[in-house]
Amino acid sequence: MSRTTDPRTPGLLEPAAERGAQERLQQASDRAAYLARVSRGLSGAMHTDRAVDLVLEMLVGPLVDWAQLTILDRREHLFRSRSLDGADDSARLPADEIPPGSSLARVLSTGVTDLVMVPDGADTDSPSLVSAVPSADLRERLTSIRPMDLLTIALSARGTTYGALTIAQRGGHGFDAETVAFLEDFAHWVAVTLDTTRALAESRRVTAVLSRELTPPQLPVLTGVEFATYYRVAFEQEALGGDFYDVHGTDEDWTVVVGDVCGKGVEAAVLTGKVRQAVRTVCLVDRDPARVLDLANRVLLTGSDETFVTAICARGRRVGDGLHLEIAAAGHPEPLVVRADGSVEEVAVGGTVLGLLEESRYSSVGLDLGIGETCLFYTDGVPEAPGHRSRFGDDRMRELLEATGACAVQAQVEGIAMALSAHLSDRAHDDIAILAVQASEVR
Amino acid sequence: MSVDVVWSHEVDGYLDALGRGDRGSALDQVRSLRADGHDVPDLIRHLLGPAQLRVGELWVSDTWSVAREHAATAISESVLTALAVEREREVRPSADAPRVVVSCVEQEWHALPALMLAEHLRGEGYAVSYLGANSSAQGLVRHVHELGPSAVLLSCSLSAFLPLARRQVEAVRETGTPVVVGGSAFDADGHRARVIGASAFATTAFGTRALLESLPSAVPPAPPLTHPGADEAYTVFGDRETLADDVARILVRSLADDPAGVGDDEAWLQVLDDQLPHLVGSVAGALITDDPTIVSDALDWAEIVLRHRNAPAATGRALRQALLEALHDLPVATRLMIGSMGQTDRPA
Repeated sequence: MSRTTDPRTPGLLEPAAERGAQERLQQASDRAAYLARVSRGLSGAMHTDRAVDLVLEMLVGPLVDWAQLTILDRREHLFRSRSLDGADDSARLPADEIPPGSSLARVLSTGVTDLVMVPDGADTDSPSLVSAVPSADLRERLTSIRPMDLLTIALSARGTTYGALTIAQRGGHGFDAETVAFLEDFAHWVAVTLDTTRALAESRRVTAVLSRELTPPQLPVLTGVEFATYYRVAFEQEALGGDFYDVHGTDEDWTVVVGDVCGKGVEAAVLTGKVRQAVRTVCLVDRDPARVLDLANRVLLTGSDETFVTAICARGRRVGDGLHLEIAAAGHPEPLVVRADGSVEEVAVGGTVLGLLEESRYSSVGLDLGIGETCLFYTDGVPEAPGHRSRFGDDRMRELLEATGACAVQAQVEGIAMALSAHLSDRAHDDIAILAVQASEVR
Repeated sequence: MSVDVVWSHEVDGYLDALGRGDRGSALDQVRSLRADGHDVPDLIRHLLGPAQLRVGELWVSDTWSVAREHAATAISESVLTALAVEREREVRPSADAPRVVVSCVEQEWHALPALMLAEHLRGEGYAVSYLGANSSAQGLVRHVHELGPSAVLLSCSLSAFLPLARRQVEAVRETGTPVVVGGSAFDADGHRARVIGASAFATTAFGTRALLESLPSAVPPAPPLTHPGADEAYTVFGDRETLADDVARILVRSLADDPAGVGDDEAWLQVLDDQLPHLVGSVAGALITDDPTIVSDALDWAEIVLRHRNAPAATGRALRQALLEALHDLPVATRLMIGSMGQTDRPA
């Protein structure tokens, strides 16, 4: 499939003043149809770079021979231009390198359209070209089409001019008043869309920084243990959920926590951040998982959040060839263990959910893992996952782990994740988290 | 300079590690080949790719269980991910490297082809955002909005997911971003890719660079599908689990009438149960791409899989008849099923 450029719409920009009523009506209707196409084409573009490219794609060819978009970005001016042969050029210049009296500077400061006439035989450094196109890189291709006029129209929204559109036609063609009015219309449509993408980018940046702390972290690489995880949120559009996991510590002594905040989406995610931080803080003093949950419970009770959290916390230490885990739980599903012979067993460990009772106390159970043995923690989103005939169920997890047997922990988790995904199809589901720990050889 | 190796031996050894579920050995082998000067694209081309084909064959022939196949695939994925992490420490993409997003189609679980493509493109100097398997349509569009990539590459392995591929092509083009599709769900001529509105079609990872460079910087929204069957495709896809139940019921009933019955070994029934939603889905795939060969190919493949599991000889024919019966309310799908049958089996 090759690049397709619309054939130039005939007569869209030609002066129609001296023509008959029929032709003028036709041109007006063609222009309206063109603007509607532009609006449809731009409606889904929410990234500024992409929207800029779309505008140039729709403008150069169907309407004009060369165009430049200027966008102010903090203290810089970003330029992107396109010519009829489909070639794109980009440049960025510091704001103070735009001469104050130039055509572009005037448009940016006043918001009023400006027309520069280009003398015959103007070269790349001719003042009239520099006045509207300050970047030498962009003037190269512009000069080759020998423009007569350079028309610059402001892009304004939210009460500010934040950019400009500069356009040119090949040798001998300029712009009459009616054409200028139509292009101003076009620029107005474009200005609002482009501004939306800029506003989105600003809020997206804030969201990205804030949510970085609330999404599952990259797990550390520790000697003698391999981790594998699976994580899926209920509300895909928010990309944040109420399930969480975390691993921290040293090769000799580390902590893993998996939990589930009652609720979904952003509100739940904010609380997961709190719990994870509480666990990390407590672990600096004492890694005993029962102590960790005791204190996390008290932290939650002092807060104003009226919600509960289930969690399971394990401390891992290298003992001989394998690992020794101490595990404490707060209203959380019991973990599953895959032994070296491929058999699967449950770890009986229980406790009250966090954030409910002042008097809750937690205790831990011990678990030894030989090389290649796995302990798998999960949230109730896994067994509760709805399917075509039934819920996923605890039995299904056991069966899958038995079928996979003793093998790489990534394969064990992926086996469940694949079956779970097929089971869910596109049904709505709760947040889902799996974190598995496998004792591995010290290499 | 790289040390010469006999790749077929390397593949045998690697496959052996995969079969044992031994990630450590698989990773050691790949690391030592890398230390001998074979770069990641080379390893994908000569070792991981061919090994993965063999894994698929071993499952089809019932030599490996489905759990063993999944485990093997997961290990190759984690080996490739480990290599990617190691390489990222050595080389970072330059600040002005063109950015692309590589993703699997929604619900698609075959992540390895997309992962291989992502690693190949990283090797070519692209800044790649790899979204992995089972990324949602919303998640994909969110990433496109955030990153503003110059293109999205969408991998689809199962023809049953082609209706979702179309949805994602629509969603990505809505943002103005060109979308390249690839994977075993597409035909070599690019017909299916064209019909669903992709900006380009990648047959293999290896020519992708030239292809990406030839893409327009922005694309208009995908035009609506107008061919007969485009609407039915979503009906079939949405109902595929229920339709699969219907097909299973009709099939078992018709085989019970057969003197040979369903056979003594019922393992094939379990495999059929797993595969039926995909088979019904392949009808949806054929409808959305206006390509009936998808259904005949899927049925031929299913017959081979079932034969290896001792299904009765009449199963293939009975399966076609059952699909035809289950889809009788849908005119285009019915025509398509009739087209996929031999002359003698067609209803009068």
